[in-house]
Amino acid sequence: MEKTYDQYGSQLFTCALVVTGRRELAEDALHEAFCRGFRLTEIPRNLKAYMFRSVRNAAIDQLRQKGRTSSLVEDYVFDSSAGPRELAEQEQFKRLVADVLLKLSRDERETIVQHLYADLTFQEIADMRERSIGTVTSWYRRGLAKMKDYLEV
Amino acid sequence: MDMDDFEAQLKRLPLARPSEGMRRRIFGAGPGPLVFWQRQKRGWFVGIFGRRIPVGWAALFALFAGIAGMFGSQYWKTAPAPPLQRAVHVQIIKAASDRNIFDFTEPAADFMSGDLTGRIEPPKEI
Repeated sequence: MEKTYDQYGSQLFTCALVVTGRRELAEDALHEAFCRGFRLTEIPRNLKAYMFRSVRNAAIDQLRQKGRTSSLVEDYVFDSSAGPRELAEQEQFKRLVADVLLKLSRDERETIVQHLYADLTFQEIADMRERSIGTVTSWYRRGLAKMKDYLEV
Repeated sequence: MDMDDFEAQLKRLPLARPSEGMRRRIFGAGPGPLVFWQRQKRGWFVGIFGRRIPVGWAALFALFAGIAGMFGSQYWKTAPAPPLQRAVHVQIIKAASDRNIFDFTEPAADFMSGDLTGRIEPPKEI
């Protein structure tokens, strides 16, 4: 489990953050998902997919228990502790992308983060969300197209 | 994963990270003594035998080995025994002098004066 945390901790946290919109809720979800993982009697065949699904479910539970927040910070998906050079080069783009992500639907936003940043395949995302692979792919493509429009790429 | 330039540009952005205390919150400060012991033992056992065995079977094996050892030590006596050196406690029950016979089993006759000549026959096992 520690290896999973080291390897995917940041991606799992970001996926939880996309659902909850608040760091503390995302951390609670991450904690809850790993606690559920510790209680497993056998290791799932696809541990990575299992953990992403578990984190998403825990994040949704957190949201149900503690309520949705409107205080989404603009750099919530991205690391705000980048160095000066990175700050200079990426800060503006990062800010724009974070803004644009907030304008997408939740399905589109989640799918983009899950596929692009968590490296989950469309099939894994479809299994996790219990939707068809076509639906998931269209969420991704549509979300990406919207982002390109907003960013005028 | 085939990505266009825009996707590649997006992917280069560093992701948010959980706080520093998150790892400790999930995994604690480190392995506890029991976990550490189990890891060490598992490593040692697996290193020699190349596989793990369930704890229940190991305990059962140890129990039977103990019982077998107990019976074995009791009945397996083919080796020559070393010469015994034992202290023998002798209690005089009756003693005869020139004129009297003293019976030390009675509470009143718990002493006698003078020399006493006696003969001790140790039991066969001694």
